[in-house]
Parts: sequence; structure tokens; C-alpha cells
Amino acid sequence: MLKDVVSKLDYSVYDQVALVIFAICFVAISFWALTLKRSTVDRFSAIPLREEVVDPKPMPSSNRP
Amino acid sequence: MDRLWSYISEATIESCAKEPTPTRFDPMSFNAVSGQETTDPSHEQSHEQSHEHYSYDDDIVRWFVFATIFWGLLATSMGVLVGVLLVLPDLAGNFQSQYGSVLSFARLRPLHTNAAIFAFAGNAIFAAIYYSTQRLCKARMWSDALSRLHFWGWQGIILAAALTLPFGITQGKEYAELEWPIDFAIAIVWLLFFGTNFMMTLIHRRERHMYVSLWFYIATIVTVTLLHVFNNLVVPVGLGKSYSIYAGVQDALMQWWYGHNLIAFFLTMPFLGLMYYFLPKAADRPVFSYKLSIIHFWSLVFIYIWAGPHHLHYTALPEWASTLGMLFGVMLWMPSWGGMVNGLLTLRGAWHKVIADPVLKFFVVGIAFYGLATLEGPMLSIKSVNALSHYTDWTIAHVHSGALGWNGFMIFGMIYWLMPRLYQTKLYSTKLAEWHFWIGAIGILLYIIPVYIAGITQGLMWRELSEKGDLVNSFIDTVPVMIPFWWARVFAGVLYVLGIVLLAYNAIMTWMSRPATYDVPVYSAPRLSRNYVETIQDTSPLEGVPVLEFATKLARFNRLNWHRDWEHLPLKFTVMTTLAVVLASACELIPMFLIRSNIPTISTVKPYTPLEIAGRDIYVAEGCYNCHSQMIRPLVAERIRYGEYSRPGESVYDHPFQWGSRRIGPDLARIGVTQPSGLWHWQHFESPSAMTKGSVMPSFRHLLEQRLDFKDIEPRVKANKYLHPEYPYEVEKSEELAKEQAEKVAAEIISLGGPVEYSGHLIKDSTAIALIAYLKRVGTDLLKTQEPKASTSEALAQ
Repeated sequence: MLKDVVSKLDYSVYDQVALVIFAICFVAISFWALTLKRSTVDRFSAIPLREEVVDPKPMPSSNRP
Repeated sequence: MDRLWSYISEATIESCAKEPTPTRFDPMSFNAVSGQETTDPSHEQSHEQSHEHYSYDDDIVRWFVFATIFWGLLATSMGVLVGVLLVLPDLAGNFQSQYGSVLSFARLRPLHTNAAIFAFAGNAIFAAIYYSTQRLCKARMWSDALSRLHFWGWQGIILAAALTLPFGITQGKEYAELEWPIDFAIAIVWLLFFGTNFMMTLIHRRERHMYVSLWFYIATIVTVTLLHVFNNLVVPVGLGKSYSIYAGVQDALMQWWYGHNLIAFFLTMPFLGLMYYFLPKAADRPVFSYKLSIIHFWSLVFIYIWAGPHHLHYTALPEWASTLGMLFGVMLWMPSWGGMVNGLLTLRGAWHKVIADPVLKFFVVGIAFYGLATLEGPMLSIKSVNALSHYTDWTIAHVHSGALGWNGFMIFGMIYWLMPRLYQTKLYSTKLAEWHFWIGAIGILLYIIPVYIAGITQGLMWRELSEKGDLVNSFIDTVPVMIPFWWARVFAGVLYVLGIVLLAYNAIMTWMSRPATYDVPVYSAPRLSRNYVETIQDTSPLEGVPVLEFATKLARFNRLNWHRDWEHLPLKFTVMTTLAVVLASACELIPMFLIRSNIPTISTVKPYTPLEIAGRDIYVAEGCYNCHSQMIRPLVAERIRYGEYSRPGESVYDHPFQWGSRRIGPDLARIGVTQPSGLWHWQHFESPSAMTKGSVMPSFRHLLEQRLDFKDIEPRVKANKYLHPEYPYEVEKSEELAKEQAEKVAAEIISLGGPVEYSGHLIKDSTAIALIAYLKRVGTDLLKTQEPKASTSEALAQ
């Protein structure tokens, strides 16, 4: 039964389906990435340049334990 | 940097973590002999607030850097050797005759490609990952023991490859040639030693956010595991021989799903991770756009995996799969160039440094070659361009602009940047590094330009038709035209190797001036709390607004804070990356395995006889696919030159498929039809240039001299029977049937004036007879008419 169903499926639309899947993911991720706050992005991009832990960000000195 | 940091500190950040402040630890009061992490007892008030001291394991990075240089030298030298063997095929002379074709182009080319990919680039990837991961996670690698097992395991695998490939122990699939015991070892070392160590380091990291380089590394580990495991599923016959469980079209699709994505996830993704870490470090400024790097990452993960079928345009692959490959191949251009632009713009305001710093020079040229290769790749995936470029040297030029320019130069840049830091002394000679850069850059240009010209010339000559519609050039007419370009390539290759010699010398001299004991800095930071709560504003912007609840939820979802969660949770992030890769792979591969109409059966196509199976295995072992394709495309010139175009149903018994990817020699898909004479093949193996003037095929005299081991045929037939239960020949009678057919083939050769004996034995016992039996069969089934049912012996007689 399953074999019959599978063998009757039309796979020729796969390239279009693939394109739609990609487009949805691409738009979602681009939207998220582009709406990230500048300060957050700067903090993340500074990670390789610092020996100290960058994220979580250091607290102001007055709040240090 | 101070400006940046003060900016960061002052900024209002949504995600204000409730964790203690990281502090620098005074190394003077800490015994760093072991270099292992310890917990500072003065801060053990609570689990979350404790500070930990840690140091990085740079020994393992030093080892991988050494291995990179060593194998890089060998891999590129091997490239020069195979380049020489292409123009001087019988260079090995008597040695080759005595020891089989150990020194032939076809056996050494896989050694060159495997060494370049897995040994040179592989060790470089590991050096980059071990160095940057520790620093990005602010944590030592989880297990020093696993790191060392990984190092020695990987070197052992490379050694095993070097000891098997030249002796014809191969699966016969490009870049996946290694036989199953070595594949098994790769899976263990890659996943168990390397993957586990990496993931556990991520889990035990002290930096909350996973920097984008780590994303690229995760994608590499996950995807290479999938590719390696699924492409190497085989039925073993012995330790040195196996048959792919896939056949023909399915095997081809699986292989190029693997092959293309090996380039993507072994030679691109980890190198982008490397770029996003080492380039900002070398330029001392953050990456130009972190947002772009995020889009770059996800776009590549989503697109790359679909694009494999563009390696199979105009072959016996269904149209939908081919179109899918082209579509996604073209789409790859944009994210790739996004990455390139991001890399180059990271140097904004620092271009003056490039003039003086060889590290940045290597990086800039490496990234430029990434841009070149990722523009050319999508172009080559367009069907009409591919029709010209495929099987020609154009592909070789494309591959080498990526491998020598992108991979090679990024590796060299990284090593020159690492050396003073790893050996804790000044680089021995910046001038030598500059020389390396210029010699290498000129070497690449001198390599790719002639090979591009050769490839395009080859493609145009193959398809050139006269006004009457006849072929203008025979295949052999095109070969002498190639020779000067191939010599130019050898010269350029020598230049590139010379550059690596300078690197090796510089590395040795730098290493020799290292301090008596390496300083191991100790750092201090709090452990990440388990009950970490990020104060992200996770309410819907439509909260309280009189709209449907669905709209409120949708607006909240659109904030995409769930992705921020993934970035903090390595396992979840890994699962999502895996899902993206698996989904794309499934959509590409499953239809091929499910739908019968993709591979229409041809009633005249029958399984190979026992002797033909043995002959086909010799064809695979000798690496014939490195120079000959077995795939006639439905293009006018190809049909005139080679005959009826190849059908998907013709290769259903081919384990593995042997369609090939290059034509140094002509296509052999219809060789059984166009050259049915056994004597011709016999004489051709003995001296190809005597049969075809100008041929660059080496002599395969050793096949005439060696005796065929008929007893070895039965297990091979048994494996084929296992894969195809309808196999018509009795396994127990394999030896007998093979001998019977060998006598017939030998009798035909003798009747045409061939020798009765050769090298002290009757020619019916010669290894070459099996190969000839196979070649006489190739491509003939399609043209046969349906025969009435016959018994096994009658079928054999026919």
C-alpha cells in the first residue's frame, strides 16, 4: 500500500518545493539577523579579540561581589 | 580595542546575565604544571559563583601544525609527481612492470587528492579548531587524552591510505577511495575522539555565546559524519575489497552528494570558521558584519547540501534531480560572496597592514580565491556551461584555484600567525614568509591559467563539427595539444611546493629558537551557571493590543528569540543544523531510492559473469576511472564519437558506478561495441602508444604477466549475489565458469594472431583476460535483442 502511494508520487516538483523551503528559512533567518541589536552584535563579534569572557558581559564594578 | 570595549560596556544590552564578573587570575600564585582546570576554593560559596582557573592545550595545536606542514609538502609533491606521470607515463619503466602499476598516474592520483584533502587540509582544520575553540569557549579541550587519540588516529589513517591506494586497494569512488576498515577507523576517530571532545568542550565552555566560528565547526562535524557513513555503506568481501550497496545512478547520486558536500563541509565550512576567527585576530578588529556571518552560515547549510547533482548534468540522472542541483548550485554564489565580502571588509581601515604583514597577504589572496572559486562553481553548475566544461581540465583548474588559493593560502596565513604564538618566539624570517607568498601566488596563477586554457580548448575540440556534421578531431588529436599546458602545470606545481619548503624551513628555525619550556598562561573565569536566565524581552509587541491571540503569538515568534536560545545550547544548535542537512539530503536522495520510474529497467541488461566481475574489479583497482568516463551524454558530438548515449538502466549492476569525472582518455561506455577485439585490448595493454600514436596511457604489461587468482572470484560473486538475489550464476561454480569464459576469450585472441603463452604461463590464466572479458561486455547489453530463456551454461556460451 505504502509502496503504491510512494511510487505514484510525482517527484518532479521537488526542485520547486526545495526552493520554497529554502526561501522561507532564508527570509526568517535574515529577518532575525538583521533585527539584532547593534550592541549585541558588537559584543558577539568582540569574542575572539578578548582574553576575558565577553558574554555574559561584565557587570559594572560597583555591582561586583 | 579599548574604544570598542568601552562602547560595549556602556551599551544597553537586552541580555543582561545574572552571573558573577570574570576576573583575571594571578598566575604567580597558581601551579600550572598540569595545565588542567581547577576550582578556586576562595569562591566556592555557590556552584554558580565559583571561579575556575584554566589554561589552553597548545601542545596539540603544535602537533597538528607540524603534521599540516609535513603532509602538505608530501601531498603537493605527489601532485607534481602525478603531473609528471601524465606527460611521461612510462617514467617508472621496469619498476612499474615488476611491482604492478604502483607508480601509475591512476593509482597515485587518488593518493594525491586524499593526501591534499584529508592530510594537508584535515590537519590544518584540526589545528585551527583546537586553537580557536579553546579560546572562543574560554575553556581547555574537554579531554587531553581524546585530543591525542584524535591526532595519532588521524595520522594512522593517513598512513593506511598511503599503504593501500598505490596497491589498488580502493573503492573506486572519488575522494572516498579508502576501503572499509579505514573508513571504520575514520568514523571512530572523527566522531568518537574529535566530535565528542569538541562537543564536550562546548558544553563546558565559559563564554555564553557561541561565536560564529563554532557554528561552522559544528556543521562540519555533523555533516561530514553523515556524508562519510552513508556514502561508505558496503558489502565487504575481505579486508581490502568491498562493494558499495548502491549501484549505478543511485551510487552516482550518493557519491556526488558526498563529493560535493565534502568540498562544502570539509574544505569550505571549517575554513570559513577559521577565517572568522583568525582574520579578526590578525587584523586586530572585529569581523565587518556579524549579522552577515549569521546569514552566511545558515544560507550555506541550507543550500550546499542540495547542490550535489550538478556534478552529473546530462548523465543518466533524472531531469528533476539535475535541475535541483543546478538551481541550488547557482544560488550558492550569493552567500559565498557575502562571506567573501565580509572577510575582505574586515580589513577596512587596515589595508596598510596588508602591505607589511605576510599573514594578511595570505588571508587576502585566500579570500579572493574563495570568491573566484565560488563564482566559478555556480557558473559550472549551469547545464549549458557544464556541457562544455565537464570531463575537461577546466574542472581541474577550478578545483586547484580553490585548493591552492583558498585552502592553501588560508592555511599558510594561519600557520604564520600561529607560529610566534605557539613557539613563543619571533618568527624566524618574515622575509622568507614574503617569498613564500609571492612564489605561491605566482605558482597558483601559472598553474590555473594554462589548465583553464587546456580545459576550454579540450571541450571545444571535442565538440567541433564540420559543415557536414562530422567530428573534426579524433580524441587522440586533442592530446598533443594538451601536453605543453600539462608541462606548464608541472612547473607551476614545483613553484608551489618550493613555497611550502620555505614554510617548513621557517617553521623548523622558529621552533629551534623556542624557549626551554613553554609558558602556560592561566586564566580565570566563572563557570556558566546552570540556571542561567537571560532577561530577553520575550513578550509580544502586540501584548494588550486588541488583535487575535494568533497575531499576538505570531508577533512574539517573529522576535526570533528562540534562535538566541540555540546559540546558548550547543546540543540543540547541533540538532537544528543536523535537521537542516538531513532534510535537504532526504529530499534529494529518497526519491531516487523509492521511485521505480527514475531508473527504467532494460530487459537486455544482465548481471556480469564471474570472470567479468573479476575484470571489473581490476578496472576499479587500476583506477581506470581517473582517466576514462563510462557515461555518454546525449550531446551530438558525444553520440557521434562514442555511440548511443548511456541509459540509467544500463548500470544497475555496477557496484560502484564508474561514470568518472574526467577524460584524459576517451569514454569507454560503449567500448564493448566499438572495440570488440580481445587481441586489440591485449596489445593495447602491452603498449598503448604502439596501438595509438600519441597516447599518454602507461603500459599495463603487468596485467599480462600476472596470473589471475580464480579462487578469489567466488567471494566476489557471492557478494554480488547478496546484492542482487536474481543473480543467475551459481556461486559454487564461479571458478569453473570463470575459467570456461577465460578460455574462450584467450582462444579468440590466439585465433587473431595473439600469443599462446606470456611470461611463462598460458594467456588464459592472465589477469588481463578478466579485464578484457569485462571490456568486451561494457555497453553491449543495451544493443542486444531480448533472448529466450537459457540455462546458465548456455547463457555463458552466448
